[in-house]
Amino acid sequence: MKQLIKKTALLSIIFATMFACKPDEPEVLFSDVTIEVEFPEDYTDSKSDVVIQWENITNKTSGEVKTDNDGKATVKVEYGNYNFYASKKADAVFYQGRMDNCAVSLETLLVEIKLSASYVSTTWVIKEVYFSGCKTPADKNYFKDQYIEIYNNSNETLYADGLIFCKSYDNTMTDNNWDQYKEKSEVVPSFIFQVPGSGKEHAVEPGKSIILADQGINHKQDNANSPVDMSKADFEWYDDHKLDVDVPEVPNLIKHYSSSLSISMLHTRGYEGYYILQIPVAETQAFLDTHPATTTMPNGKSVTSYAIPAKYIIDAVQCAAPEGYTSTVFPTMLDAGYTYCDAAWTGKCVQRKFEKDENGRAILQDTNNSTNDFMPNASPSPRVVVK
Amino acid sequence: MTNKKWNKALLILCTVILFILMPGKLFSQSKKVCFSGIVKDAEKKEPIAFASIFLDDLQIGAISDEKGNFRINGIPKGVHNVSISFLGYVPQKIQFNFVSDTTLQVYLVVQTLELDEVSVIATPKGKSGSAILIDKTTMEFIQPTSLSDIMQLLPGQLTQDGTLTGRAQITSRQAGDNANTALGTAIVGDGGVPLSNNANLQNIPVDMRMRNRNTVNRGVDLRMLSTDHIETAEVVQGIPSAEYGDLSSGMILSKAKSGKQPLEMRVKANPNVKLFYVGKGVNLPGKWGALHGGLDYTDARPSVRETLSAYKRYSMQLNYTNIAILAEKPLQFGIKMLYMGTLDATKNDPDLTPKMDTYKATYNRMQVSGNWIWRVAKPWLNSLEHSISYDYTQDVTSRMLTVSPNGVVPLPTAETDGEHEGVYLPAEYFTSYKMTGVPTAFFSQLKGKNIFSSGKNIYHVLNWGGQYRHEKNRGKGFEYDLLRPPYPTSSTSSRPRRFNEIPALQNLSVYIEDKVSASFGKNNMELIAGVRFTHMPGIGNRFVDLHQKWFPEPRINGWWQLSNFQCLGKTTVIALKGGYGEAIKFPTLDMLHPEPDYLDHISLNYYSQKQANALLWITTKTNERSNPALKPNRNRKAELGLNIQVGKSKLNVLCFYEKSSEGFQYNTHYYWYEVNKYRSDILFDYKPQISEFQVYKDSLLDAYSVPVNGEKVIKKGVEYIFSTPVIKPLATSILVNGAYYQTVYDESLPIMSRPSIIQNGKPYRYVGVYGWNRGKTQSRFNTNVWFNTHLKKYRLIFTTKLQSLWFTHYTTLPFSGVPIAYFGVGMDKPQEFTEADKNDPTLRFLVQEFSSSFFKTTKQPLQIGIDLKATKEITGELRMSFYVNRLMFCSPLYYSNLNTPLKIRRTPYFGIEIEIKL
Repeated sequence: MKQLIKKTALLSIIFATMFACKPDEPEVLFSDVTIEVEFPEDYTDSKSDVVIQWENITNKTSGEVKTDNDGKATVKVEYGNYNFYASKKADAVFYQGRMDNCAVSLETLLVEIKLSASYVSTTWVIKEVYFSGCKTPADKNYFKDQYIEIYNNSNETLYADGLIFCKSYDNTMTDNNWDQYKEKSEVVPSFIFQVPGSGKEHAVEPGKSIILADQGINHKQDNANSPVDMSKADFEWYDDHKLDVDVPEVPNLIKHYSSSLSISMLHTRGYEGYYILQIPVAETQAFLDTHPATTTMPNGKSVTSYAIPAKYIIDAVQCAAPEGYTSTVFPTMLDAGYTYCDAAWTGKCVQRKFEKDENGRAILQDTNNSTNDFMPNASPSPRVVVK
Repeated sequence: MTNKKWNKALLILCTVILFILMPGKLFSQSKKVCFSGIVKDAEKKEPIAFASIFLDDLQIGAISDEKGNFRINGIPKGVHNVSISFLGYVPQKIQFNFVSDTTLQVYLVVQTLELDEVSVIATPKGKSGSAILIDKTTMEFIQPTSLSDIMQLLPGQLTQDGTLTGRAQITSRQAGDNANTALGTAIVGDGGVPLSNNANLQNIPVDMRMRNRNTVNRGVDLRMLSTDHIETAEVVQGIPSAEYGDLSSGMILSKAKSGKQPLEMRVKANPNVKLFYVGKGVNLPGKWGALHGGLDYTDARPSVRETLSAYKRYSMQLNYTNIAILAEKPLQFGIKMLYMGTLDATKNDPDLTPKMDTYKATYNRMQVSGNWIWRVAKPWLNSLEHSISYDYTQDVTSRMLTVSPNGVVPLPTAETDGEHEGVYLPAEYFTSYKMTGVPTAFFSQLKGKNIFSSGKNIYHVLNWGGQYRHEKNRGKGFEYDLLRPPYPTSSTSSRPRRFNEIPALQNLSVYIEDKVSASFGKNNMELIAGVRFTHMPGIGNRFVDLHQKWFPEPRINGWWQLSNFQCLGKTTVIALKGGYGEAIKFPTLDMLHPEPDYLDHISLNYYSQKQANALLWITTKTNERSNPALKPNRNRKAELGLNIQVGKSKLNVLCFYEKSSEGFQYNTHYYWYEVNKYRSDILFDYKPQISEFQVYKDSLLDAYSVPVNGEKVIKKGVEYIFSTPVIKPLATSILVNGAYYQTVYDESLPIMSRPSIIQNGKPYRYVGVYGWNRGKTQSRFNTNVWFNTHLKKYRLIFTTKLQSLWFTHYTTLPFSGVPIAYFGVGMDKPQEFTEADKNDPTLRFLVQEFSSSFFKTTKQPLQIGIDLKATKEITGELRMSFYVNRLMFCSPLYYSNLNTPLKIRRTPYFGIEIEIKL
């Protein structure tokens, strides 16, 4: 009996010690991050209520915090890599700033975000850009149905004469070559097309839009898989090159500049930015001549173009890969986010979201942040607002 | 030809003639002796038929007959070096003092690894000049897959892996490479018969697959040439004899296998190549001579996993040699037939591309040549030699493909200039094309030799002769259905073209050269002075710089052995050598007759939404692209060298300088033209006529490429070779060789270029004229140390090679970015580009900008590798070899001139082979 008790006791002790120790759980380290917002010189509003959105890049946790009267906010987050985005709306002026890829790995961290005034358009907005193209029934690539739709988001009739459509020279998924201009808030285009007219020739009523297409034909006839009929497009971009055709029924845009002698097309995965501005046709060349831009490419070749200051740009949309961009092509004030289509040749487009109806016209959402303003992978719906 | 050149040529001619007329008992019969004998196998004591007996300094010789007997008449009295050789045996070299008629019994020993001395290194040939000789033993030891592999034996060249992926283009004495060096290296066989590539037109620039095998204007692709058919190869990178022409860089001279040989089979494998060779030579009964034949089949794949593309090579050689008696004098003659073919085929992965897409390129080449040497041995003529050859190639590329020109594309269909209606291509169609090139070449050479002496111990060998070549491409050319063009989206419009309509290329040359050897006491000297004159008969008078002109090429090589004294108890010999020469490569058929440029401008593209109403109006313009000012490429070379021999150790150091400013290349030529364009303000609801549109004129810039003499290449450097005899305790001999090369690649003509942009609504209207186009200087310095260990007891020889490339530097030649002048629409000639123009809003697009690091030198650091090669004779009949390149390799991290961190990594490569001799 005594033996049994001894053995039991011994066994119990052994079992107890075995299970008494718990492995050390990794300690979750938190950091006190202070976000300090830097306001632009002409900022007159209060420093509080700037919304700071943070997102952990790896595990996608996110949150929001507001600044206090000193323009500071604090948040306790795990160690990791974060993107911070600050925004505040003060009347028609929208302020925003970003700080991407901050490494949080110390007990305390100070993140400084510079806000810049981001002017939300009061006239035209880019409603949708269809760059992805589609596949033909024979499984060949087809991109001639690309187009951009520009929408009158105001309550007055606007005139499209002199409206300029550009795409950025830089690519959102590769290293930039024109950063020195982006830092001065200027954007370098890779092509410049303009709506012709003396000033009052092409009226667009509130809630209506103009469509600029690559080829103004009914693409569904040539390619059963194409989602659009561009035979009623307002204008087409025509390159005097054997790979393009000039459809007489659709007037041509004026081609001012292109970085290539070949045909103009949008990147089928959308790895670039599109933007619009408006300058009277007669003044355009003089305007361009006073805004030259030069840079050297990595292979040593020098390239010249033009640099368009952001203050002239009415609206812009930055598109990248679904996971995000490698480098921005716009200064933050033009577009603080990005939108995307999953792949090329899908027949999908990026489309601005509907905000509300007012007096019989639809108003589209514009906060100069395409992550929030655009629907990725939308079905092309030219001239129709999807609610 | 300028006066200056005529004077120079005449001067040389006079010098040569002076030597001939130097006082001396020229035609004295009593001073000549006869050398005869018999050549036998040392072991079997059987006679060796068609063995070569050669007196190097006099350049006369003979071959033994079917009974092994030989006879050479007309040898001047005195000391001469005799070399007796036959493939498969160790060559015998004797120095003999010929005082009277001599008879000799020569015994040759079979070449095996059991012998005391086996040499597997390339050796300098001759005294003057810088030719390198590679004998069969050396060639076999490096286990080559093609002739390009033997180049790695030269100082300054790097180890080759022996894969057959990609073209093998010759490089010579340069860091980097250029097409003109490959084009300018002649491949010459027995009897001076060249293997040329001048009439090759097989190229479609837009076809990516053809690009990799394109050898137009690039010389011969050495991959095609198997080394198994040749006995020895001689590489001349310096100044060749005046006997050889149509070359600018150098030449590779090969001697074909001949005579009775055991049945030989060779099988070689490495990760990319499988090679099979079988050859045999027999003595035909009686006096019917000897016949040697060989077959080679090689299969190469770019990688082990790649089954869709392959390169197959097959070749065959038949060589008949015999000796007869004509007017009591030996007449040595032979007929050789060489056939080679390659098959290049790519299949598409059927799972990836369901459409029909095939590519096939076949190449079949047959060269038949005959030559005879009649050893007259008279005082007024020592020997007369003639060779004649005909070379026929069939080069067929055929392609079937589906074309889907993304969207609807217009197609012009006219073949004549003017305006006409065009056709829109369907969105997708199936087409095929075929390019058939049949380059043929006819060659004939007559050569004579005179030997005489003009004093005690002074001998002259006068070598004179002439050559004629005729080359033409007789193929049907580029054929395809005009309504279904294979590359409609390419920026260069083209049309089908018949090659056989292009006139032939002819080349006629004469040369004379004197080789003087003299000895004064302990000093010996040799001077080879010659001149060559070439003319292109039949060249049209539109080529003003080629028509009815004779081009001289002086070639001088000298050698002077200073003294012969004792140093460190060993016999020391010091010799100086040097030379100057000019070598000219004549333009190829493609350079003289490029296909015209076709401009198809779309004057109206009325692509109505109603297809039936569409109207396409094209203006076609043809531009002639041949250049009437085309000249040959003249390369000027100079060399200076020092040879020191102490005992059996030798040191050769050679400095060289080469300059060519007329290398062939294509430059872009811009011009502007006026064209009618049409527009309409009204929409038609029917198909309109062109007359219903409003005409307006537009002026546009266009460009096409023109063949010019625009490449400037300057090569300079130093080559060194140091060899030791066998170090007995280690059974190893050491060879150290290497070179420092500095090469400049630049332009000798201004370059026109413009930004490819639309500016101010139109394609950019100005063209900049620049004095620069990314010219560069490249230099490198390498040392190879070969430890050749020969263990005769084990019948094994292996080499440990330490290859170190000390540095490689690349520097882009500096440039300000500003054009010298500019040309534009509406201007009849270029205008100077001023300082003020740099800020002009339109002209500023012509100024190029470069980052500060663009012109910095990129320095690639040290790369060291160790290679191993070994050959073992398992039995008398069976031999096995293997090699490993870069068994060990290392190179440190470095930064490019743009500050990118880089590291050179190279993986080992190996191969194995088995050879059977029965």
